[in-house]
Amino acid sequence: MGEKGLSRMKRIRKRGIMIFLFLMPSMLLLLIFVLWPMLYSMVLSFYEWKPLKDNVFVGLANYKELLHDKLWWISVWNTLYYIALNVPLIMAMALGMAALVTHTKLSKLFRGIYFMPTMLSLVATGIAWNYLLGTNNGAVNGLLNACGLSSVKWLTSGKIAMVSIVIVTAWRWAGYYMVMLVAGMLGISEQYYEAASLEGARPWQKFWYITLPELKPILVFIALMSIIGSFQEFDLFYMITSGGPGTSTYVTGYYMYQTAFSSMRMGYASAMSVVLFVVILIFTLLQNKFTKSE
Amino acid sequence: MTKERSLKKAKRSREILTLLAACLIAGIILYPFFWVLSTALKSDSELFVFPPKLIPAQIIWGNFADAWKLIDFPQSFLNSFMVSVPTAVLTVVLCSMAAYALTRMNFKYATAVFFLYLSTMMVPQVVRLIPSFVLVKNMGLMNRYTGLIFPLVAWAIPFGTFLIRQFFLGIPKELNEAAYVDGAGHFRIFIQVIVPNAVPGMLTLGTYVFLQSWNNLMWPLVALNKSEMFPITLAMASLTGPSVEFIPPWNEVMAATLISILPILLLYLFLQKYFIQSVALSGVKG
Repeated sequence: MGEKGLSRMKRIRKRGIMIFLFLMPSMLLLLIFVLWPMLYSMVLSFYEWKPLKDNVFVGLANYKELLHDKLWWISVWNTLYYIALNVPLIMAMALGMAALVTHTKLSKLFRGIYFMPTMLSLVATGIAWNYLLGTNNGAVNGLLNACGLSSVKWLTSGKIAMVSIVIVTAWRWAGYYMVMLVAGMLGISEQYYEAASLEGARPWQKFWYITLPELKPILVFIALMSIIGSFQEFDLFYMITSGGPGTSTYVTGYYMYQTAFSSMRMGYASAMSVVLFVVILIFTLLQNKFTKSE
Repeated sequence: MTKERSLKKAKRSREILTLLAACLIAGIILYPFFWVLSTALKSDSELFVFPPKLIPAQIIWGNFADAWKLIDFPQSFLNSFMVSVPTAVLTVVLCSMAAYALTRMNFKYATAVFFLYLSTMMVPQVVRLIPSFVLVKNMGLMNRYTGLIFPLVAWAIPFGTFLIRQFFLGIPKELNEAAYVDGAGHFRIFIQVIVPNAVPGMLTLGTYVFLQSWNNLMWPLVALNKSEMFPITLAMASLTGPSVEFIPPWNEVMAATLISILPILLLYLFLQKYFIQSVALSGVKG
């Protein structure tokens, strides 16, 4: 090997060290707090894990227990119910907001207002709505009464509590997804609309035949993103209903938290988290597939 | 002529309708804010008037003074800052370094590494929660700022790297290639060429991560049990909620809620552009 080859190898090695230096800090953190936890969750789910005591390997016992756990199935059902109500409402609101705001005068002002709830912590959101939705002296019932309607037991009726949380969720998140849709709408070529105008298309026709199809990739993305988010929703349930009344708003994320940190059954809770992971993973893969093919 | 005029008229009335609808939705969005403010200013006796009135009969500013005593606001705000600011700064620095390596160092596995980073976005919060708790506990980082900061940074890295990479790709390659020919090393190119050109991107990510960690409830709930370490979210959560036995009067709670969101609302006023941009970018590029 000549002098040239040696210095070239030195250069390559130096470059390797530089790449390593630039990537290492972020990679290290990912390994410790994302990849390792993922694997460790799976391991834990095969153990009966109790703090202060030894771990006992129990095989699939946690998963078997999960199959027969009534509260788990209730929470699964509640979560699906929450998603079924939540996702269409958020999307309709976000779409409506975006359509109103994209080309209107004062558009910036409205966008700023619609996006504002997204800034708030879910804790503050929960506290405020807890008061607003009060049965006896809440402002929402006050408004209903003023319109000649009777009061609703927003948070104290098992049938309605979930609907209440859906309303709060939509209020908090619609502006978030609106921003994505506005970005998408601004990206649609003006020429389509001009051509449609020449043909005499009405505004709603333009919206239906041009805007919606053009936005389809973003809409699919938003739908899957809010499904994934709703599967994990915890803060609002913790703040507003704590799973009640009864078990009517017990959702999987909340049950898992309770099992792990109140009942201290980490192994069992890990089994839940692994099941949730698989479900969420399916939706994430769907999302990737759709966003790539478009 | 008349047709044109009627068309114009139709367009005008449509504009007015759109504006009205936009105002209506703005009203719905702002409705809770007005009520929180109104309730915060009411007297104790007026709390039980039904239906409640938006304009209080008597305005009691003293509620804010009482609310200030409900929780240790200075300490909670300090805790929130001591977690959110380092988290945001560290995330921006680490993600920028990673994005620099991925976009400027032309190595064989750059794409593979990028996809590895992206794929960790698929690991949901519920899965990392318990093991991260075990880890932080075993490392002796419970009830410490660092025990909150490092996991929060780690969880922000996938999206952060993605976002900063987008910005870096927009910076012309000629800039750093010219510097490279001049004999500048990667550290110098990174700091003197790339970073100054990516300030908007870094601010966008910084505000986003700051907000995420400021508002986070679940992780502090798990990683803290000493109340003097509580950030503002956790301190407020311990004030009301179904698990609390004694809830203070609503006017004081609402006043406390307003105090608790004030820093964020002020920040929103000045950095609105960056908040909105971070969301818009995460949507368009999927």
